[in-house]
Amino acid sequence: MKGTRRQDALNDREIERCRRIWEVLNGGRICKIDLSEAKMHGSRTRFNETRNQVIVGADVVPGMSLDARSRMSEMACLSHELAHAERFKQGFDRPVEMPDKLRDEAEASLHASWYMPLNKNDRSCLVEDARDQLEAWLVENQE
Amino acid sequence: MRIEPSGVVMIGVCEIQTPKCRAKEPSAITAVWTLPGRSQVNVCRECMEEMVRAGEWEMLQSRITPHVDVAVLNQDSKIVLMIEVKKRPYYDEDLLGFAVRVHRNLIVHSGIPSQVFFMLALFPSPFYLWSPESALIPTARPDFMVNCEAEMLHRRKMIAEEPSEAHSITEEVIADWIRDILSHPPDRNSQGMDWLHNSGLLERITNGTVVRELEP
Repeated sequence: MKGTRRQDALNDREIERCRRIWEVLNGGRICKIDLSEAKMHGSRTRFNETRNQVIVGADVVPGMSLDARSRMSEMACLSHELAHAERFKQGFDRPVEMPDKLRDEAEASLHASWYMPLNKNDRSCLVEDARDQLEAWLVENQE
Repeated sequence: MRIEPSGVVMIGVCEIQTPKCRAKEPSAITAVWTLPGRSQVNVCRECMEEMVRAGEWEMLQSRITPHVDVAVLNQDSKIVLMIEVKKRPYYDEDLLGFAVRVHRNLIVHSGIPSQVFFMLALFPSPFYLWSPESALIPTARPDFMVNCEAEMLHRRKMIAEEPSEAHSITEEVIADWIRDILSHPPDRNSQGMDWLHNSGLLERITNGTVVRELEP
């Protein structure tokens, strides 16, 4: 998860909150969640294909910037990573190079935007993020 | 009833408690609001999906997890018959209306794959069957209605002597029924089985395999 998000390590209460969100998302049906890095300053939230795990980092918490990726709540952020995992399980290979990585990011956000427990804001934020990623792809592709 | 998720996550007891509930004891749950009244309902993820599957709740802009109670796969492992198993609702006298509502909700929330026969089994009876053509039309009424109450009750008795409300037992009864149809296909003259031939279902499921609890 990029964007300008929080860097400070998560405290126990925040880690427990992530665990609950994962349960409500029913993430366990797709892959495991690894919360061991969440207490490390500057750690990143990501889906690791080799380990088939969503690793929660300090940046699971939103930051102060106004773009969708920075504003995304913990629920939306974990939904986005779960979508990566679900798409990987469905056989979608993830491009690792720019600019196509941006399209994969957009697809993951759109995929996540269909999840049931999301409220209106989270759903809109994910769709907005998909739009931002696609716009970035268009810009990169023009060059 | 329209429902809006709040996005709030907490520890609590699910207020819905369907047979698939995972929060009968305090667990991670979320809160939703009923519309337009905005009353709060605390619910676990499983019950949220079950309420949508049952046609009771409508949650706009979201999809349910694809899940099939009982299915028949063809030799290419593609689903040809999908069966959604529910207990017959005693509070709703309009069973056909209920069936149409459940089918509609599954279509709207992407719960039915394309090109399959869809059966809604209101255990013990009636069962409603949609052909692949009508299965994808949200407002479509079922093409066939199957009344098999005596057979289903007899089969359930054979599986479990003790009366049980367990959802899985009804699914097992129906899976067994389909397995028997596959191993000993009834002929056209068999009483009450003409729907199997007239719908074209028997032809599609011949040589198929019955599976339960599938997530396509």
